[in-house]
Amino acid sequence: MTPSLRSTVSTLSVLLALTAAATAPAAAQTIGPPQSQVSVTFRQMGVPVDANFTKFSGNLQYDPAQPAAASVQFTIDIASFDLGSADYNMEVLKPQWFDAARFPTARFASTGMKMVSPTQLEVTGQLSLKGKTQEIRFPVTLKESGAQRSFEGVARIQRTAFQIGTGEWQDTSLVADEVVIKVTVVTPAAAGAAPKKP
Amino acid sequence: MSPPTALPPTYGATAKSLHWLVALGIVTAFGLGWVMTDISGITPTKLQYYNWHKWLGVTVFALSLVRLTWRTFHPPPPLPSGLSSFQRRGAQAMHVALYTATLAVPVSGYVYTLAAGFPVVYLGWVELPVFFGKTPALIDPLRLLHKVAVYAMASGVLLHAGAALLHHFRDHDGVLLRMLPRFFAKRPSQV
Repeated sequence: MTPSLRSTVSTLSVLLALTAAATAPAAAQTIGPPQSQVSVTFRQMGVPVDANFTKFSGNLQYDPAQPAAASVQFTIDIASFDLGSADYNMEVLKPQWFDAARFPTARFASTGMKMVSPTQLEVTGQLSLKGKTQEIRFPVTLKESGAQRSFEGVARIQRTAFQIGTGEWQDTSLVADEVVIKVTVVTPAAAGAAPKKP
Repeated sequence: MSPPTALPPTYGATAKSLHWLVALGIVTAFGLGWVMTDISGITPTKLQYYNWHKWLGVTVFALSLVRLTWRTFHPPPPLPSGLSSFQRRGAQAMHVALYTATLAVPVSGYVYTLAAGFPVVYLGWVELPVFFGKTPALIDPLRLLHKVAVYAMASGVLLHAGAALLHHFRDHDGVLLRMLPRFFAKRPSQV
């Protein structure tokens, strides 16, 4: 490649990138696996067990200039629960647990954002799970590294409030009531930023 | 009245207690392991059995370390004279094998459960070290290793118990009595 051709190509790619940024819908971002992750940790007889949902999708509206105006929505495919064991994966879809046949998805939609510190947001929103909707509030840590921005949220819910684990599984000394939900959303740092005027 | 006849040398009370505690632990863990792996799906009972099994394994491991330490400072009584060198070497080898198994079987189970992503929380209370996290590629090889180690130990235990019974009922040489409570040891002299 000759030097002049190389500089033409790089000029062209800068132009393309600027065009893309200018035409992208302002601050709206589709999120999903594998960059983003939704996992849960529960305890059975004291043993922390991790699992994740391999299928989910969502939207994030985030403008670093106005973090408190951000909003996020998630839809999680319950049947994509993966604990790394086929027996467990089948068990949790049963009516006593998620009842995936009747309630195939879980949803979360934020209703409020508060900037707690330059790296921490407090998110409030509605979580719908197994036909029950509850307001939850949880901290989200912001990280920016290079071209990536990540949002890490850790929410704690009581499984019995959503009737997850009923009948013989009601006993919280066997499977603890508290379940920790961890959501990691990774987006390109540039996207979501207010597009710069050329 | 004859003077109290010197009883044949036996293991001390601590060594005996530890031996029988470990034996009870092994038999119970084996039984639980047998039953729990036959329960299909996931049930509360199955979760309980798995956890109890792991706690027992950890207990056997810890008691075995105590036994080995104790044995270092309290050598076992000499074997009765009149044993062939084959028997002496066999007994020696079997004891090494059994001590190894009481440590190796719990360790193989421990790494298996770590690979499967279920760390051990002793008695539901003490979080034991997680040397490595969930490793799907290791689950099957480590399950097989645990199984092979368990069956090897079970064979060893059967040979060990069989030999003890042979010594007692065929050879009448008091080898079994060395490990039984004194209560049993006195009996033959009273007959």
